[in-house]
Amino acid sequence: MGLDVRIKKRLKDLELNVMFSCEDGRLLAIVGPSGAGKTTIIRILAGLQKPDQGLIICKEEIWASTKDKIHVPARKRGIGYVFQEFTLFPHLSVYKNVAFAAKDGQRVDDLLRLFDIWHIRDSKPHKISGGERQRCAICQALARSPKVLLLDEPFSALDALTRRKLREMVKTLKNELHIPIIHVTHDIREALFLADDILPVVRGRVESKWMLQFMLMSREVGRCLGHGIGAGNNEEEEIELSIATNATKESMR
Amino acid sequence: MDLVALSLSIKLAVVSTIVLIIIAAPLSYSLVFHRIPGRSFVEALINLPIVLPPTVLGFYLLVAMGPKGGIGSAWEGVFGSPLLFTFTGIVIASIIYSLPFAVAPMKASFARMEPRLVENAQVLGLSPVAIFFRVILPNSLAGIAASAILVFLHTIGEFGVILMVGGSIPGKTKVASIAIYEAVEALRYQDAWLMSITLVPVCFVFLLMVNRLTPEVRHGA
Repeated sequence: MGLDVRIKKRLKDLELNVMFSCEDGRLLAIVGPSGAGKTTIIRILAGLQKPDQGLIICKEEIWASTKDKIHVPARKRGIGYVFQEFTLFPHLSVYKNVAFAAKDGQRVDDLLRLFDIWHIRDSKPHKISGGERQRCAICQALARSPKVLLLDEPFSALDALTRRKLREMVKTLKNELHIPIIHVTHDIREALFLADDILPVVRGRVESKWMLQFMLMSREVGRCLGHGIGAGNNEEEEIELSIATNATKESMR
Repeated sequence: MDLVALSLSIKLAVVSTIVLIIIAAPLSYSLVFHRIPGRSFVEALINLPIVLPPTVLGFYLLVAMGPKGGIGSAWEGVFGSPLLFTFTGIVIASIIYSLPFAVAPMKASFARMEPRLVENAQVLGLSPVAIFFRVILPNSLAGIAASAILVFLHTIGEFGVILMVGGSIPGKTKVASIAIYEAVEALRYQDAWLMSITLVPVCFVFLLMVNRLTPEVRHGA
């Protein structure tokens, strides 16, 4: 069960070549710098792009197989996809956006209440804040009970406080949803906070060494500048980061 | 003043606008969102009436819609009546003549749409037809309104093509622009003045109606 992925794709200036699995109820964070091919991976999973070579199997159903020339279109994959921004339908209210593809009206009501946007259900997307818009986008993705949830840097355009709140919400949600969740981010702290597994991707390939180097470097830079990862202004975060750094070192031995 | 010609002009403009919006919307959608083989050829063909002199286009249509032409003979075969010098004939000619004015604003409006909206609709399980009706159209009403205005006003002002295909049969094909021309030719300047002046408020009222709709769409009210 879960999601099994093996994909290769030639991009403009790099060759994407990754292989990973994500079990039901687990959150896999795909982390890496800009231009690493993270978004391409998630778009291929959604069916919005095709791999040059590869196999994608979700809950024993083949979504893509270049060998057998299978490509299930995006609309038939039953995916929940939260984009970075700009994906709520501007002509519809918050309620109608969430209910857009939902099969169950009660689920729409429940999600709007759970994500605390019930009070703005009649507002149009341009009348609400960025955080509310992203909560609405998450509800929209979840309303049709997806087989897999894909999150493509959904918090990157938000302010720090809103980002923190939404991370908490996704963490709570993760424990309640029994589906694979793939979360693309360039923020290692976000990945450490949310993920059960982390897939570091650099220039289209899985690079564990980069992850460790990045974490060590971020800690040093953070200490020097007095902010950021490892700045020592949050003891809990510092401990969490130390554990993760050591775990990464261990896994590379 | 020839009120029959004036009302025929408005009837022709309304019918042409409705038919053209129905034709141009999916055509523009395909041109923007689908990979069409020979797209440049198709677009050049659509835009041909902009650069061709109306009399040239009218002449080609006259030949094609005549009893020996492809369209005319097919029409007679199916409906048993000729197409030339009929109201239906001038509607078809108007549609061909005004097609680029309907397609251009719609295409621009569809192309301006955030591509992720369409991708989100795909991921949410919508078919291409459902995406067109539930996402593209409601978010392109301003572009569609602009198309409607242009087509309507362009049809009201048509002369050369209509004269070639429809002639000047009162109550059937004699529209206001032809009636004005005939009035001037017969030195009936008062009639020409009256009809010319009447066209201004008619066009203005239609512009006003569509303009009143457009801001509502833009502000999502």
